[in-house]
Formats: sequence, structure tokens, C-alpha cells
Amino acid sequence: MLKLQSVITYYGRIMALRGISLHVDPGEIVAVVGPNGAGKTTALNTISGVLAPKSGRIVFDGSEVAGKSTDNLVDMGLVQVTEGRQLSADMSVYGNLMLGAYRRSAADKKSIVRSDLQRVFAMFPILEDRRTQSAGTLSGGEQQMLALGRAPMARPKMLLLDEPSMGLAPLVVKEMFKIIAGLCKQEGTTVLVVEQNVKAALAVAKRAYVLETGRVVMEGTASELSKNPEIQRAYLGKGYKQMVE
Amino acid sequence: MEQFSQLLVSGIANGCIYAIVAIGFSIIYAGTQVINFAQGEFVMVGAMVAAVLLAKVSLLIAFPVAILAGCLVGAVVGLCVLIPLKRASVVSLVILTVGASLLIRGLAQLFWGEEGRMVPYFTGVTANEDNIFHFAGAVIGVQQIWVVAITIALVIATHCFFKYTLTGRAMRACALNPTGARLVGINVHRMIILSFIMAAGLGAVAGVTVSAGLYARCTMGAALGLKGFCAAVLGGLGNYSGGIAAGVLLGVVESLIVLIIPSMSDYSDAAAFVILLVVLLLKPDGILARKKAVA
Repeated sequence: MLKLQSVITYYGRIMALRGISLHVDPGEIVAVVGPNGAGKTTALNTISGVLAPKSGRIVFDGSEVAGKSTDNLVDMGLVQVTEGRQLSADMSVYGNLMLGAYRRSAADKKSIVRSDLQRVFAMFPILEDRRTQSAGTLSGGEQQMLALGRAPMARPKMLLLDEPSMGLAPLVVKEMFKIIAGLCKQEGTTVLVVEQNVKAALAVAKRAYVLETGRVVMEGTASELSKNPEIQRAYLGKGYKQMVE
Repeated sequence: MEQFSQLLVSGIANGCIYAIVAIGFSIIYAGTQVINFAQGEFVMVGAMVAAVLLAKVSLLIAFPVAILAGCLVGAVVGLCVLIPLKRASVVSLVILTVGASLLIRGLAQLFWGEEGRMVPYFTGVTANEDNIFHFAGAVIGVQQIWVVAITIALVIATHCFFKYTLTGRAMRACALNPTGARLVGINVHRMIILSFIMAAGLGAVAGVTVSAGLYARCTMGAALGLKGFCAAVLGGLGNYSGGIAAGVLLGVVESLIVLIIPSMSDYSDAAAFVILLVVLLLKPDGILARKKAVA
């Protein structure tokens, strides 16, 4: 579904991605984990066309997409979920959701868009309760849900998720990932999720890549990685006690 | 009393024009953070095109063509701002619009000359008794009713556009958060061009409306643009309702100032700027600014 081959991206003058390669198969949930500043978000922004790669290939759904504009990619079915704070804060929940269907509104009938809206409300009942409220007045968790709920409105083939757990309480994180897994299962959506919360990400992903300073330093299935002592020490906080002693 | 209501009426009519121009400033500012000093020239282009056409065709043709001409000029200015948008600072873009405004005015003078061109009233001939209403001692011309009616229609249309249409929502989303807007697939550049086209279209409407019964001149843009700018800043840039309120208020104050200081009649233009200075000193975010939460 998605394949990156030695992609290099500069963020200003800084080489943020130093040639990363990864692939995501259809229907898979793949996680990209790693510490702050590893280039996780840069990787997502490069895939979604917000940043243009300096070199390397990005193939989505069989066609070369490196350097394509974001609106073209959304048309192709590759949608990056906005962070909660990138919603239109002054706009109502309903307005934000309808913006999710922006690219297809010209082609699709209103009734289809409306039935999609009902599906989103079924997935996120809280959004229906808050539909007239402006997005800025929602709690952090609700904003993340709105951002996530907006994505199915575009009928994506593949979702790119940028730190869905950021700033959320542990219980809400759990719920978020449950919904993401559900999206993947029910709608058949392929998911690439970037996450600092390694534990939560590995619990839902099938495979994962570990990114450090712009390079993929490790990859494997989620269960392999969560057993890896290096990962356990650095990200999962296991064995920390022995180390100190 | 009679003088008061008369001045009030003409003040409201003038203020409506300022309000329309102010909306134009706010639309572009919201999308780009750029104060578009070519806004006044959009007004002039609308007025001049209408004036030239009205010599040959009826208002029903001249008015829409004038709006289209304004939109076209707006699109060109929008492109000029858009191309260097990412590399240039906002200040250089503002200066670019000043340059564009001088260029537009210069070209207009080249094509249409210096002399004013008569624009007839929308309806009725001259100050015929049939075209005048008496209200509270004031004489209200049909044209003044047109001005107010057109302004109200435009304000409602703009409001509905931003609130209820998908394109309007998309434009708001771009203004609120360009990255977020891009991610749902909104072409931000296209929205910026659209904001220039809308602002220019509104400006052209204001231009045709304000010059009916008067003369349209190539130099009329600067003064109207500055008044509209004052109104937009007074209302809080990017705040549409604030700009509209401030525009009408500005027109009224400008008109009534003669009652208080009769010698001001020649300097009523200065009133706008005095008000602007005072308000900016006291409430820098505009008269309708909501209190911002302290983080």
C-alpha cells in the first residue's frame, strides 16, 4: 500500500530524515516509534505532502507520490489525521467534520456524506452530543477524537496518525487505540501511526519501526519488538530497576 | 434636529460603503495576515468600469461587468502576493500591495484619464420628488436606500457564505489553521486567491454604489481604501461584524462632527484618523474585541 525508499527530507537546513525506508501492507497497522526529535512527524509530513522530500521514492497505491500536493494525496485516499490542536477551533464540531469530507463533497451526493457523518457519530457518540459546540471548547481527548473522527469522512484507504495519544490520560489513550484498531478492522483502513507512547502503539500495531535521529534503527513485528531488551529498557521502562541496582 | 437627522442619514450611507471595504480588508487579512492596500483600487476599478460602460449600456449589464472586472484585478493582485508568500515577510507583502495599488491607479489614469465620469443614480433621474423620502425631517434619496440595502444584502450573503457553505468553511479553516486545512485536502493557495477575488468583488460593488449620482475618478480609491482600512482596524482586523459596525460608526461620526465643530466640515476626513488613533490607544484589538483568556 505504501512504500518509502531511502527518503531524505530537510527541515530547514537540518537533515531530519537521513534516508528511511519502510513499507505498509494493505489492512495493516504499522507503528513508527522513537524519541522526541527522531523525525517521526517529519516522516509523516513527508508522506502526506506537507513537506517535500529531497530525494528518495514514496509509492502509494502503486503510484509515485513524492512531492505531490496534499490535496492530490487526499483525493488518492491518503489522509493524515490532524493533531487535535490543528482543528479549526472557532468552528463547530459539525463544521470540522464536514471539512473532513471537503475533497469528495463535489463528487459525492449530500446523502452519502450525511450517512458517513452518522457512521462517525456511531463511532464517537460524544461528537454527536457536542456537534454544535465549537471545537476549541472541547477537552484535549475530545479534540483528538474529533480529529480522528474527521478522517473517515474523507473515505481514506490509508490513515496517517500523528501522536494520537499526545496529552491524553492513560484511559483515553486506551480508548483511542481501541477505536483505531476498530477503524482498521471494520473499514479495512490501512494505518501508519507515529507514537511516543511505545507501549500503547505496540499493543495495537502489527509491525513497527524504531526511528532514531532520522534513521530506522530497528524494525520487526510488534511482539518481537516488545520482547526486545533494548526496546524494553529504552521505551517500556522494564529492567530499569535492575539497571539502577 | 433636521440637520442632525440629515447628517445621520448621509453618515450611515457613507458608513455602509466603509463597512463593505472593511470586509474586504478583513477577508484578505484573515487568510494571509496581509493588509491589502490595493483594496481601495478595487473600489475604483469597479466604479470606473461601471462609469465607462454606463455611457453605452444599462446598469443591469454595467454593474455585473464592473464586479467581474474588480474580481479579475483582485485575482491578479492575489497571484502577485501568493507567489512570494512563503519566502517573503508579511511586511514586504504589504508593501507589495502598496505597489500594486499605485500600479493599478497609474494604469487606470493612463486608460481613462484624469477627469471624473458621471455615474447616474441606480433608479430615477435626478433629485425628482418621486425619488425622495422624508423621514424625521431628513431627506432620504433613493440612492441612499440602495446603498443601505446593498450593504445589508452583502453582509448577509458574506455571513452565510462563511457559515454555511463548504467553501466558506474551508476559507475559515485556512485562516484559522493553514496546516490543518491542508491536511483535509484544502488547497490553501486557491483559497487565498479566492479571498482576493471576494474582497475585490465586494470593493467593486462598493465602488459602483458609492459613485452613483456622483463622479467616478481614478483617484477615488485611496481615500475610500483608507477609510475602509480605518473601519477594519477599528473593528479588529479579521473581525467582520466589528468592521461593519466600525464602518457605519465612522461614517456617522464623520458626518456629525460638523454639528459639534462647524469648522471641521473641510476636515471631516481627518475625523476618521483621529478616532482611529484614540481607539488604538485605548483598545488596540478593536472596539468589538473579546477579552482574550490569559494563559
